Amino acid sequence: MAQQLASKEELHQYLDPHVLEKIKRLDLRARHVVEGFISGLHRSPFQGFSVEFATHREYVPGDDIKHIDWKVQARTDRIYIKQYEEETNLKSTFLVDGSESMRFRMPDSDTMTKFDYAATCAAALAYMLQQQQDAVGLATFDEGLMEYIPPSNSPTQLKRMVHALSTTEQRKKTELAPVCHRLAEKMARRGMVCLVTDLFVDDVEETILALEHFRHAGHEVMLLHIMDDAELTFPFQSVTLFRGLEEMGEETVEPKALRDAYLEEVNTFLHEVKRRCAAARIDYRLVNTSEHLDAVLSSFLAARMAAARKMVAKR
Amino acid sequence: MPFIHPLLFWLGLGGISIPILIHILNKRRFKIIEWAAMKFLLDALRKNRKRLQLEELILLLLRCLALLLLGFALARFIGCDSSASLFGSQSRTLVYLVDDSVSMGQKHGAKTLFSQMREDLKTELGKVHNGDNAMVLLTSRPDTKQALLPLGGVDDMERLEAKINTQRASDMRTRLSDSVEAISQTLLDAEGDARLMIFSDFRRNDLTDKTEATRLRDLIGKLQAEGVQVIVNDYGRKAKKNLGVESLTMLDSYVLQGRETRLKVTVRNTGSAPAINVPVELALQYWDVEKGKMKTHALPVVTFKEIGPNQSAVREVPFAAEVEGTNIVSVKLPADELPGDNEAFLSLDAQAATRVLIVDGQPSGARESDKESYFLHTALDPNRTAGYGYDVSIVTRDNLTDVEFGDYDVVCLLDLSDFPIQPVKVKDGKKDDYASVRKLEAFVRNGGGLVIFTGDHVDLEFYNTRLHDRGEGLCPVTISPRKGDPTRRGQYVRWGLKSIRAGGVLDFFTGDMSGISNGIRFFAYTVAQEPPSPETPTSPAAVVEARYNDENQSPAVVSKPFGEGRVVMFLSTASQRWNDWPLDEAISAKGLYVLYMADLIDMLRRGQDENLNGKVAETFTYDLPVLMSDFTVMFRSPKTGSELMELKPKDKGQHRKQVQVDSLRELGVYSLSLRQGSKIAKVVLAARNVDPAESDLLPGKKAELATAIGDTGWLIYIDRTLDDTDATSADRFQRNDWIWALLALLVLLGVEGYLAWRFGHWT
Repeated sequence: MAQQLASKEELHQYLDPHVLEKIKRLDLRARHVVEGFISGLHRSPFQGFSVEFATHREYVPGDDIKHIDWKVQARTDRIYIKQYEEETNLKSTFLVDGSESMRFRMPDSDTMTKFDYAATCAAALAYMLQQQQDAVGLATFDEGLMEYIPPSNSPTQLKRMVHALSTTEQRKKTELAPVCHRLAEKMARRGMVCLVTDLFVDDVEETILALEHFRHAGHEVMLLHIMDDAELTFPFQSVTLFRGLEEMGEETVEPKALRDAYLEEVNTFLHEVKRRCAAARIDYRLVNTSEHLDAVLSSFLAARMAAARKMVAKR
Repeated sequence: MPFIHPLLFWLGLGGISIPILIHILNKRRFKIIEWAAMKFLLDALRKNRKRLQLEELILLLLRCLALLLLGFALARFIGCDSSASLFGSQSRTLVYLVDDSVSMGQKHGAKTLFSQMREDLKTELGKVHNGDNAMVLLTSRPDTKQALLPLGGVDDMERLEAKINTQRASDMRTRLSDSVEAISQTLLDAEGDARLMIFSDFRRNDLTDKTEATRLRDLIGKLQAEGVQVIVNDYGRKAKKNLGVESLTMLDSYVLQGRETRLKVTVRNTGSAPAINVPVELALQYWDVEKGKMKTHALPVVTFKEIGPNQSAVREVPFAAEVEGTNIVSVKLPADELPGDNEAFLSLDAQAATRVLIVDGQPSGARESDKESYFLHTALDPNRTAGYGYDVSIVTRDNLTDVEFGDYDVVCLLDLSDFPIQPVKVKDGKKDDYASVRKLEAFVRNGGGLVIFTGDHVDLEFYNTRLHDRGEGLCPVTISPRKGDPTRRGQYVRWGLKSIRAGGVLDFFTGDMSGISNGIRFFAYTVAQEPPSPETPTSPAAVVEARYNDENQSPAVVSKPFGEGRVVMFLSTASQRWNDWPLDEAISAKGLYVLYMADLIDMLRRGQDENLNGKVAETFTYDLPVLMSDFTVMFRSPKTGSELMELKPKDKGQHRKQVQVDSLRELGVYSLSLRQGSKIAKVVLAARNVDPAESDLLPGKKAELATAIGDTGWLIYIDRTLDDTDATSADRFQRNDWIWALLALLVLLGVEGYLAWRFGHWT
């Protein structure tokens, strides 16, 4: 079945020009070896493929200065990087959580729902990757795989992805592990998997194990952990009836009396997730939906690039 | 309960449910949030549920306690020495002292102060817990043995209320200090909390009496020092319209049957408005011997034109006693706010004649006129029939031991040598050889009259020692042997005209009659020493009424007050032996002896028996006539339908008997009848009136109460005259325990706030 393309409104919903402007100069490079079929930014496992100089690219902070083309700089007074022929392209797949918990946002606040934030985040990164000639794909899930758009660097790929995101309804529970296992089986070639979720799953351990499945298949895995500010700070004052999403029941609580205990639970959870991700070499980033997306992505990408440079330096 | 407004306390107690309700309602009044991170919330709840419940419970208890304290504060907690008593778990001793004096009968609207107090008392008694010891004592009966409710539990409230309902304001005066003293020991001996609640009108009259106020202050101070809580309930109201019989007295000292006598009626207006045209009804009551019942004879109504506020009006009323014996004059005022003081009674003992006892020092002689008593007897009762109003009895020295002086009005000692020796024990183991002299002294001290004439038989030593008794005795002066020779009629002295004291016993011989005494010649006279001038409180100085015109100006007539009676001593004989007065030989002195002696006897005669009249609660004693000493004595109180009560006379010795009734508690006429078999031989009527001080209804109020019984700061004052008790309750306190409740409430709220903040339950 042919996948529909996003309308203009849908594109505007998830592709904020302001954000795109902010991140357009950044790269999202795979830290590990990925398998592409066209030349790109990423190290290829295949010898002799695109070994010649390909093009120049404008220098961005974090680039290794040894790749600066000083001649061009002398002529144009601008700093360019020489891109080498061993670079290949990247197949990136965004796994966006479309479960019911992702539709949470603090009432009366101007923040986005977690899903909208996650979708915007994925779209922005996909846009950026596509600009890098990388192939991007999308998978949305709740208790099962809802939609899967295989990676492609087709010019319409982004529109397909945005349409898929905009039509996702957040109604069901999260069952992440089976989805991950299924996708890991699907994705034959090594690439990058970016999971955007709130990780509100029954069993985090099982989820991390599922993500390690990607790692075992040679994929680089990034985890953007989306949390609402209210979920991180529990700012409620008066007696509140919390009605749980994803069929979690309801409870009337005096929030002030329970805040410390709640935050302790949340912090324990975050700490555990972070620790497990580090152990599994999953690039983890906790994202607060109250933060501006451009800042979040900029810092995230910059951090990755810095880490990538360190790795290259080590080699 | 120790609250002025117990209702508010119960409201506060009921208010405890408020935080519980708020707690429950709060659980229902909340925001609803659809929450994603429910897992963490549920985990946090699961791990902290017990802590949260404990915190909520602590806060709930604190809030309930806060409302309880608020109830304490609002209900004006007035003290409780231990919390246990608050909840009735410890036995308390509660004494309710009820003023049932005359003034409590003051009308206010349809009620009297007493009936209002009665309702309050029932309300207070309704608050007595099981296990408490309660006592209700009426101030008219300040004896715990006569308590309306003896010390103990209130088991049968219905019966007690019925008993209280039968109580009325009595005719007694207020006896607060007596009553407080009566219950003091009960309160001081009480285990656990003790409380004294006084219900009275606290009139200014009661509070300004220094002796009474000092005694009351000491008693209450002692009770409070021992931790007894004292609560006073003040019912005092100022009277707008009240008249009272201030006094009803005789102007004459004695009453003779059929002869006109004068009464003095004094009416006092203690109301705040002038009283105009006040009609006073008078009536005469006596025992009709023939018909065997009381007879009432109305006297003309007396009208007082105007009596200003706090003023008295006096009116003289002439009347004549119709029968011999006791007659009662009654006075009745129109109805006003205080009915208890509108009536008064006066008992008058009308006699057919003045009873004179002559002790004759020379009772025998060849002729009748040789008797020393002959002339005096003849002057008073020439026909020996008591037809001139003097019933004369003559005894000799040897008969003196058998004489009961109380049966006479005046005793005359004529040339009496001495009294027969009759030893009698007196105080401190001492002995008096002259029992009859003691009796005679008692007679004069109680109002009897004594006339002493000297003569040749007088034993100077007896007169100067026992009878004079260093100025404390009956003989006003010490005397020396006779001067002059009665047989030599050519030599004589007279009373010095200028020496006769005006206004004294010889007043007869002054003024228009001045000079008439010159007709009397004294051929011999007893020389008397000048009476000592400085007078002592126990023995007022003798007064020389007249002096002889001899060279020494010797005292001729000396008088001396003795108790309520008086002694007049003539330093000459009563017969013609030493003077020619009885013979009327001088033309100018014709008839003087008869006239003067009658006048002297009237002047000296004993007044009315004071026992017959008195205030309510005063004891009544009556000496039975010798001839009736074996009669049955029946007594009846003025209460309508009261039973006749037989009295057992006490033996006074010498064949005399006396009856005594200790507590004549009611206003009115008491009758005492002496019966032989079924026949009534004599009826004595006695009157008891309310204390006129009870008429003055001016309330003392809080300030004077505080001055009188001490403002210790712990005395609780409740003004029961306030109609809107809630609005004025703030003025009711001197004890401020509720402030502690308020402070505790504030502290508790602070603690609650801190804990709520600390626990995170502060919203």
